[in-house]
Amino acid sequence: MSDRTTEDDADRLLADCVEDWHRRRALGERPKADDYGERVGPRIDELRRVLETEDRVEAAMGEAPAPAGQFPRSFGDYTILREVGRGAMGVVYEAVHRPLGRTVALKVLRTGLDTDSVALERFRREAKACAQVRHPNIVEVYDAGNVEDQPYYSMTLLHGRTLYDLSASGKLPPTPELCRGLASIADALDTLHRAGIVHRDVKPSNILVTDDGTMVLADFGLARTAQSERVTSTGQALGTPLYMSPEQILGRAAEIDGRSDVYGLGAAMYEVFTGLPMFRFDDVASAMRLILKERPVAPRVARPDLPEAVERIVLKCIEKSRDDRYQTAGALRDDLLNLADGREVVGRPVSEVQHGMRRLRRHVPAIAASLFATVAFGWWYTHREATLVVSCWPTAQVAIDGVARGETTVAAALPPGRHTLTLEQAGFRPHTEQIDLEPGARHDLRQVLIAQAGDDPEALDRLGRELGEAMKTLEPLTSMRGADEPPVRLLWPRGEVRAEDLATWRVDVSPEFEGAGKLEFKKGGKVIGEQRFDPKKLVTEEPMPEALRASIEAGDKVTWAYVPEKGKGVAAEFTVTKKTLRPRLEKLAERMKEQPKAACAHLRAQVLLDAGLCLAAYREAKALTDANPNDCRAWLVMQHALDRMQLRDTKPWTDACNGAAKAPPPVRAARGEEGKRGTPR
Amino acid sequence: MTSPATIDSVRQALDGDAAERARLFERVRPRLVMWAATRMSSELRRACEPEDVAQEVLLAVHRDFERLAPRAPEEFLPWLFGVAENRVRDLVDRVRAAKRNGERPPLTEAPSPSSLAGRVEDVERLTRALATLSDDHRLVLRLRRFEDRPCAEVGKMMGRTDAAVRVLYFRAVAALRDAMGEKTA
Repeated sequence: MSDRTTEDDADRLLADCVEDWHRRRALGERPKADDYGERVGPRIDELRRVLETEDRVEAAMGEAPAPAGQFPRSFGDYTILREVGRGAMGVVYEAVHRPLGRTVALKVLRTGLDTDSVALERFRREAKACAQVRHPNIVEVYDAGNVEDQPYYSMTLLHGRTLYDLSASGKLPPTPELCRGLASIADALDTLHRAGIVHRDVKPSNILVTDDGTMVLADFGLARTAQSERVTSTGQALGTPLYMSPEQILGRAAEIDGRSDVYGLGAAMYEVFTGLPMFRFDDVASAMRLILKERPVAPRVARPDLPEAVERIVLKCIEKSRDDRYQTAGALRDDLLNLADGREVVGRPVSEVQHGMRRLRRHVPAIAASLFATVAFGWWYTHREATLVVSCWPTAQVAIDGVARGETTVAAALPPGRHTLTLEQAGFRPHTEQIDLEPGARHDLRQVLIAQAGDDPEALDRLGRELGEAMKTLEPLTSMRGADEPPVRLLWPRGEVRAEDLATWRVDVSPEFEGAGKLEFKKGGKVIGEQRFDPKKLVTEEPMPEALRASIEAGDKVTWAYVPEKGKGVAAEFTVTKKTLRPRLEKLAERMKEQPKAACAHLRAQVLLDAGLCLAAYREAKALTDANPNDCRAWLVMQHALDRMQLRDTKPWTDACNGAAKAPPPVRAARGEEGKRGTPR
Repeated sequence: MTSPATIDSVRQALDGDAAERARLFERVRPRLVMWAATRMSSELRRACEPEDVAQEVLLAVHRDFERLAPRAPEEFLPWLFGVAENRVRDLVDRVRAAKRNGERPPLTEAPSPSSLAGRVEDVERLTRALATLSDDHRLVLRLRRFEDRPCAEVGKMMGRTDAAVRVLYFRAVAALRDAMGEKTA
């Protein structure tokens, strides 16, 4: 056996995959070689053959693992009875601790390829944080250790459902009881905070409601004690963005304290009480913008029957500045109990007027001297100020007139006049630009760095990787679903309709459209063709009906609609014309030649950024919101559309460009046509 | 890497009657055959087949099970391979003695096990292929795959790092695949 270093390195990756495969088999899973496709790249065939050999050895031994989920089985001192939950980090089982005969919840870290030291550290910390504090509303840890390299810890087995489940299924307890439960969670947080631990991931799915109605705080994966070293130095985002406080999403570790948990619980309460998530976003950039800058729809706009005191408590928790929130979880607990018992609620969120004043003070300090002048001038002024929107890459630093404004996307309200915009990103020349702002105008600057990167393949590559990272962060978000709210989805399905190169075409329909149905194509209100659609297949690749094709070729406007077989009529409508899309695609195709993959990714991002579809949805929802400010669904659609105008998945475009050299071109050429959203019926 | 089903089978055999034990022994037989292929020296291979070694081991295990088998299911395989190791050494001694005396190796006569019938062909092919591998590859497959030892332990036994064991193991399986491929070609 000769040990050659380079070969060792090359084989290590595959060797690790084989190891991971074994571990997962031992856990009762059935991993496939293709699961590692992304990781091993071109050597996937080799891995496949090796794993086939492993399969044969195992089959020959007659010890092929029992199908996943076969229990009981042994794990150290425990006998695992059944699986009760599965998360990104680990699997939770119901198990019996044999020496004591105690039934417990056993959490086992899924070790393997995806387990880095960070995950391991986080897992250990979770066990430790739980064990350090005793509180009736904090899950109790009994034991922690390792069995065959698999870290585990055992804790009280609770029977119940998460607050998220209860909220989603509309089975919440009545408000006073709910408030008492939430108060007990606030009390648990208060105890944690006194012990120097910040939970950092308070959310409805981390609050268990046991069968007797007790609420218990669980999942301490992100909890951090004051002493523990930083595990986030790699810039790994912790927590679910939806419930992240501004200081958390900015990664300002030093500013994260108990008040961040107060925010988290506030965001959770917002969702529980209104039945809607506080914000909706598709990517990090928009998450940052919303969490840092935007106030959510007032709870009582979303749910007009909500008591005013509830709204006050929630808004007080989710103040952007931690100094404006309840200063301790204990104070929040007291106010929740006040509410439950019908006493006066103490907390007062900062009012709109106060927020306006602060903004004013920031921009025109001199005028703040005189209160009267401030108010009077402020009224005039805030209506006159210009808005600058800078959208770029999630990690570029934006400075306006030398003042750091955070990371893109930034929307800044500025006094009219000349301003200096600076964008800085590691690996790029700083980009400086002078901007003249008209009073009351909106000035959009987009994709500044990408334009600059256009000449530099290395820079493009770097951006491409970042985009990839951003998309990964997105995944859990895109699968996140709100409670039952079909109207929003119908207005804004995840599916996309694209007119391609007109030779072949493809329709992706969102999984929300569960039933089979047909696609109807209309021109001037008249049906010119239809096609069957089976949503199980998710795509249709039948040739485009001739009439439709001819109409698009001619540049006519064609509407197509998805008509499910069962249920209501038209679920969604899209209008597509070829006109605006074609020249743009041609221009892009020109630029695509000889460009690296990343360039394709960016250009696709640009196309999507301008996608008329988003814009149309936005306009429409905006009109609805303007007509009826209380229509929170329309408002949500508007937010969603805004977010969609940010970074989007670039893979299809990249694929198309990679395939462009070969003939014929792949089906997925591009999308982003001028589209108009119809209204649901 | 022991499958949960095997562990369960061990548990049932420990708690159960002779029939349960027989089922367990038949279950581990192919593993033992392949183990033997990785354990046997060329000298021993000339004298007998891996199937014979497995049979010897199972007879010994059968004899000692009631009295000596550990009570914890997880400890069964290490015990089994302890017994197997002793049998192999014993066999080597006997083969050498027989050779000195010019006799045939003294193996216990036993009927060919029927339970192997369904997969006997694949076990045979794997066994032949295993026997052709290099010493290092056979050793790592034996310790890691058939004896179910964790990488770290194998590393200590082989004087290598954990990561080096993984790479060696991967290459051993790749070599096994190649050896099988040549057989079929």
